[in-house]
Amino acid sequence: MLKYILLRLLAMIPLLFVVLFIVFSLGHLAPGDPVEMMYVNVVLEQSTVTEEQKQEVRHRYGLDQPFFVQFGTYVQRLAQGDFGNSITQSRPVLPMILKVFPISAQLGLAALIMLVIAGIPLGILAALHQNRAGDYAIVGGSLFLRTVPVYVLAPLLLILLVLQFHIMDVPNGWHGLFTPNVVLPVFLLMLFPLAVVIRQMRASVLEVLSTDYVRTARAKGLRERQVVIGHIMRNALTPVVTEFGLIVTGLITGSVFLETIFGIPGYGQLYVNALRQRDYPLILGCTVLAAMLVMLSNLVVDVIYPMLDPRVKL
Amino acid sequence: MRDLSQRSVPRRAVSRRSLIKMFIAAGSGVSAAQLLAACSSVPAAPMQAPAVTTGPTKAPAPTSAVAPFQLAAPGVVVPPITMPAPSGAASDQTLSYAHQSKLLYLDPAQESGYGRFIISLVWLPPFLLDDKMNLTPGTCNAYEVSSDGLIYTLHVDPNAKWSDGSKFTARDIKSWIEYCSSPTNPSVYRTDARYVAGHGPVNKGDTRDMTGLVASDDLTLKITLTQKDPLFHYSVLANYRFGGPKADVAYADPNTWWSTNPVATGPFKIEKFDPDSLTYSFVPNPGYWRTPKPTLQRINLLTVTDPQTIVVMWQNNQIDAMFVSGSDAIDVEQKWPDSIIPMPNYGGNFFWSFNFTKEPTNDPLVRKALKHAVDVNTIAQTQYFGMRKPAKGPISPYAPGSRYDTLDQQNEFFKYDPDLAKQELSQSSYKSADNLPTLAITPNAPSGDKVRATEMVVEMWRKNLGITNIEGRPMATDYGAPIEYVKTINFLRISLGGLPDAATLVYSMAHSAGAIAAQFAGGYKNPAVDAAIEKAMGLNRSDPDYLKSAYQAEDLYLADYMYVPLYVDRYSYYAKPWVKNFKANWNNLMYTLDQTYLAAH
Repeated sequence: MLKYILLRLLAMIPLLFVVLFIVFSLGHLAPGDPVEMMYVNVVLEQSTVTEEQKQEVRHRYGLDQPFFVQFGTYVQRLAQGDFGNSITQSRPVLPMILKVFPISAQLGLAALIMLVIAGIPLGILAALHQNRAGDYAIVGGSLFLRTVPVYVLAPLLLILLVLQFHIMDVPNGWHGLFTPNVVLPVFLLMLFPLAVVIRQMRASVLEVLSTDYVRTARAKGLRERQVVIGHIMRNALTPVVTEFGLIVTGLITGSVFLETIFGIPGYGQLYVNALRQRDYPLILGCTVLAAMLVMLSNLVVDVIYPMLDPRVKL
Repeated sequence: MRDLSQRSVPRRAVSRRSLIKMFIAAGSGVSAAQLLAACSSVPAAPMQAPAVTTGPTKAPAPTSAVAPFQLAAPGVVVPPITMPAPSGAASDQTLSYAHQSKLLYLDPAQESGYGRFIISLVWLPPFLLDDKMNLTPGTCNAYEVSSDGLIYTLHVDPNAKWSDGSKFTARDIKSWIEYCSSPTNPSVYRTDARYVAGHGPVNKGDTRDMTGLVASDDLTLKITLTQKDPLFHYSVLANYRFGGPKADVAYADPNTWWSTNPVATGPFKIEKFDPDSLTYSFVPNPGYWRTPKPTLQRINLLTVTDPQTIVVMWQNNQIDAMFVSGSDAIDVEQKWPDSIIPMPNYGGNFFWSFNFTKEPTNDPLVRKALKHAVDVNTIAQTQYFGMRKPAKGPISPYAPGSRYDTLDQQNEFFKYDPDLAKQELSQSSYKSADNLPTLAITPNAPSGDKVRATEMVVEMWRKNLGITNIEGRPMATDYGAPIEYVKTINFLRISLGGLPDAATLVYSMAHSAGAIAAQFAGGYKNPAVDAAIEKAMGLNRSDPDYLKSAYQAEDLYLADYMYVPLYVDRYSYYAKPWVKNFKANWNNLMYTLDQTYLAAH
């Protein structure tokens, strides 16, 4: 097991290099330039900036170097743990990311827990009530919530809960995980992958339901709860856990809309602002983190497999 | 200031209609559009032209009543404004102020917009502006100008001190101006003090000592200029950029000094400034040396980037005051006109600039035809519901000496005349619309109003001139890398704000060294325009020849048909009725915040 994990970790290095190269190339090929972005503000101020001043800024951040020199320098520094300085904020990238990442991680993990608590039982229920009203309600409801974009659903819920029913104030900012402000963002964050988990769990349970060992368990006279928890659920979880590998990454890094709507200073907002301002070091830093997260979460999923299914050997 | 009534505002119930409207607004994906635009990966796509609304739109009258004013003559300082004493104040004096942008800096040397609401009340510049552009005391209480206009003598208020109790001196002003001009400062605004003798070597980093700044004693600073600048009192003395912390603090940590609670000179100081967690708060400076002391006990700055969220928070009374702009501001002003706290005299001019060098807009007759085929008034009325004035010349209607009300009667430039436009196109080197090369255009903004306005132009060109070969992209940067994209675009929407001074505004738009002409118009240069502007810029604003020269420059520029006007924006703060003594000046500063209080509600 340890050897497998070490090999997988080593394999991440070339993969990370490829991801870095692609993102670095795309960043340079994309239209727009951070120095010109600064300049746009100056125009609005009726000031002028000389070409020398712009060159000085480019030189300060190495933007006047050839592409491969810039990339090589970046990789070299990254290997030493230096993610570079943000062009727009003139401060180190790593502390910026480390400050916002825990916020998104907490949100994402809270949503994941809610997803497990809601999605797996609902999937099982839907399967056990296949083609009946309960099944239709669960599957139809979750699909409906998935089809409504979060930037539509969130304002609607705000209008209803805040202005219509006066149940709450608009949650804004980050005040810690265990505060009422978190409830609505976490609920909304969970909704999008909920339908995937429910449908995957439902399909998986339906498949397990027709197996011999479930029939045997029932024939032995076990109570339905014991059959479901002890025999159906555990065996049906394997494909769902595979999905969780990708879902968890999406939950942590994909809350851009929610962070914008609720003013949460998370990873998504940082990434979008970096893209908007063509802040290459920050874009790369965020990308490295997201890539590592995807690779690590998949590794964790692979490590969990044998625990769920003893037939799987690493 | 508007008389805000004492009535309490009940929470508004949402009607079914408004719910549907919000749903539609949400469905249109405003947030999504913003984010997509932010990523700037929107593929180029031809713009689809909508039907043009030609009928008049009934709307509230423009809220543009601005008190008449003149720019202050050099040397004149008036007493600070005194607001009514607090009456019926609420027990909790915490002001929640929201805006839509993440504030990264609170560095006067770098600040370009959103921090201005309070920055000058944390670090006082030598003088503060009131809402009529008068200079009022800041860290200095008076100044004189020599008869040749080259020497300014500033008198520091003897009571002025830092929040740590140390004495504020003339040397503090000198060293901060030097820092603002120095390359140590990461700001791109390092040339504001360019007329001060010795600026060049400091700007290059050769020395930190600016020879034109001499502190003869603790309370006197003599500033020597290399050339006369009739607006020096605005560009430097009352510029928020020139009120800052102790310069040593900034030299030691130019990138984040403001987030470490540095000492202040104004009525407020920073309690917390953390852009990573979006936590910003300001509290009274206990060592503030001037009366009155602030009544507000805390100002919390909320960052609410999503336009729908900020409106729901506003309706739910979670926000006491806010700043929104563009089409979001139009919505707010239509629904809550009593909440408007205008930033007087500020008129950002929105317009589309023609590229002077690219075919077919290098042909003056094509530019004329394109201009005369566009009904600017209908566009402004349709998009801004009468809440914003249609733009005209470079001189803003909010600047002294503006000819806004009569300019279109005097000048053919402002005609909407499809027949004339057709005639001009047929006389051009292209003869007809069929021979025109593709026009590359951009609204250069993701906001709906700018996009729709550009689409209306496209439709007017199609309808009036038969032009159909138009390529539109959402942002200028979608056309290519760096500033190179400007060479590709024929018709680029941009905006321009600035000091409400006729010559300064014409300079910025039309002078060959100004930002617009030099960068966005493809290097526009008309020596006659340049000469008239330069003459006006060098004259005292009370000189009878001053406005004559500014008008001459404006007329010459109009005759070159270099742009199509859109509208004049007017920025405002919005405040709830219980926020009292709340005013704003031209520089976006809530300059009476030291006297603002929250009434019980």
